[in-house]
Amino acid sequence: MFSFLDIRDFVAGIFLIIFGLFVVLYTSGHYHIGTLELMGPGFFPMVLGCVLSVLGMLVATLSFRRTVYAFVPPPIAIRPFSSILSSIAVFALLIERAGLIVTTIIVIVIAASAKSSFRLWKALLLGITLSLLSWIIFILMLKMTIPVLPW
Amino acid sequence: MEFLSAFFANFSIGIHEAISLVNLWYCFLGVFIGCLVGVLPGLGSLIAISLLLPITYHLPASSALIMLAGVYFGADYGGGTCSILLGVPGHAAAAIDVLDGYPMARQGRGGVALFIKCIASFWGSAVGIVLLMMFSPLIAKFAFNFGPSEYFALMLLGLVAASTVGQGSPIKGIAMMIFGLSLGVVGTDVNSGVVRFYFGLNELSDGISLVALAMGLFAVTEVVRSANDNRVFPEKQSFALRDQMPSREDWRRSVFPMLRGSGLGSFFGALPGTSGGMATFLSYAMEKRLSKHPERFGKGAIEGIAGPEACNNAGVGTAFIPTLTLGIPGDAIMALLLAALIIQGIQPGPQVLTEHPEVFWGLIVSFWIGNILLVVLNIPLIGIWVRLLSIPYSLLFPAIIIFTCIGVYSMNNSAFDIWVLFAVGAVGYLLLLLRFEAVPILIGFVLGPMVEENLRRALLLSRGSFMVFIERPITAVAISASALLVVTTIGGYLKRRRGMSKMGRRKIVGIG
Repeated sequence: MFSFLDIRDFVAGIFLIIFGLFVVLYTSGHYHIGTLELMGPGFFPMVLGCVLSVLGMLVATLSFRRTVYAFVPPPIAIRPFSSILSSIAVFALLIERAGLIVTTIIVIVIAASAKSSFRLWKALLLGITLSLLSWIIFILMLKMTIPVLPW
Repeated sequence: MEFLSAFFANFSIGIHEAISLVNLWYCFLGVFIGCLVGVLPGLGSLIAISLLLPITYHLPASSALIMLAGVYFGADYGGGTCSILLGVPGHAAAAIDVLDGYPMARQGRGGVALFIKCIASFWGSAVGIVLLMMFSPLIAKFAFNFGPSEYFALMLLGLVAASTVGQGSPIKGIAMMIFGLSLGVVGTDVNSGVVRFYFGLNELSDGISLVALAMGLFAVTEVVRSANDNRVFPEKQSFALRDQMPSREDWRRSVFPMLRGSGLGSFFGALPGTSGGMATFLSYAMEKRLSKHPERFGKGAIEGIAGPEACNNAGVGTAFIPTLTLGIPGDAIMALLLAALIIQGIQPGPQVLTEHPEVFWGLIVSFWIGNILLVVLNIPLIGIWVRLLSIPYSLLFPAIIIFTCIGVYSMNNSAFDIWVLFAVGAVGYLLLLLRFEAVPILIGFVLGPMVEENLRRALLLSRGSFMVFIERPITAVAISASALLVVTTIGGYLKRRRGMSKMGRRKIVGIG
């Protein structure tokens, strides 16, 4: 009989413990806790951090009791994950330097590469269409003050 | 009589407010966008409402809420289209329509299924809105006596309910709710003026941007998850009015499920945490059990659409009761609407009804207008929406990403908020992989500052004594209900899991 540890719940528990302990330590180092009657700014986060660490331990401990009969790695969608997130990062870097039109085209091309059936010319076409569309919606109709062109 | 005259006075305030040209336009815009995002799979009302939040900054309070509520109703009407015609749920609340709607579409009765869905939705909404109109003033009147301890206890109950009723582990749900509460701590503490958890980044002194958080948790993770999905296209079907008309037999079968569904939905909608998918599944199960021919279910039984759809929309109406009268949202969408109120400078709570009657009653009248518009949009014009289903996702998701980025950026014209979106998207996706749920994070985040404030005030007034949570009846009931919910859901979860692993073992042995 194979019996595997449910890695995902274990990792989830560890994540909660680390986050909770971080909140507790950071709070105790920086903020005044106060008393029940007169709470300082540190009281509430301190309680939250403690509860989170306890819940984390619970989740991690319970994961040992769950037996799994086949190890299935979590289905990380690596390609969409990397291209979507890099497209957002590129937007953050470019929007104030290159303006809406250029940024939109570049972001669309990077985002579209998430799909395995990616074709550059299709993505470019989509990027140009959407940059015009977002110019019409956000600049002309909603009158937002976003830089449009690089100059 | 006094009650009635007050009611009509209020209603006329509402009519006055909602039937201005501007508000009618935002109502139409809201239901139209709602329908659009409801029909398109992968775009729910949650994403649409978070996308529209930045725009509501520039609108008057009632127009903003009217538009956002229109999106919510619209997405509910549109949501079933994809489930029925493609057999793929557009989003969670419409998942139930797949069971009987898709078989009906395969039998060439897709038009009838859509028609009954629309009628059931309208009926459900109507029941929900009537209850909202009747109960809100009563509950608000009652809530005027609430002190900070009542609010703290009710918020706690809302948070616990919203995080334990989900599909997965209730322990992890509560953990995510607390995670959301801690994210809400970031920024300036109103009591002491201390800026907490800003790590030297001055942009964080106003707290984490709600729009960036909501978009990162829902829009970005959803796109990453489904970017590579390949979609089936709907079979060609005619949607002339003639093809949509249900037969006398269809009507006869649908009436009672609609009545029962709307009752069930109204009840669960008003409770925190249970709106959305769960109640519709209960309604489906009930119809199947009550039916003389349960074997027809799953093969195109019209009752399986009428009941759950009425249930779903009745819940939408009554979900507004705790949100508007107490300021306690039951689900993520209500949390966003509450945030829209706060953005407008309206403090949520019972005083909304007395200090801003035009917002409250205007919203209610706009619900009626919106629902009538939706019936028009969905019965004669259904063909247009069906055509939308053939837009491939490969064109849609880059558009979602760019509109998300522009929307988040435009809130404060700050590239920093885009980095928040980036971080939340990345962490949110990883949390999803670890089988955490995102909804409790958002609800915790929105309620966080209010929970802390009420807890502080309650304990200040009681001079640090916890007796305040036991002595006051409503507080005591809400606190014990929260505790009971935690114990029973975790207990049930552990029992279920043990049962599952036993079953699994037996299966393995059987194969071996």
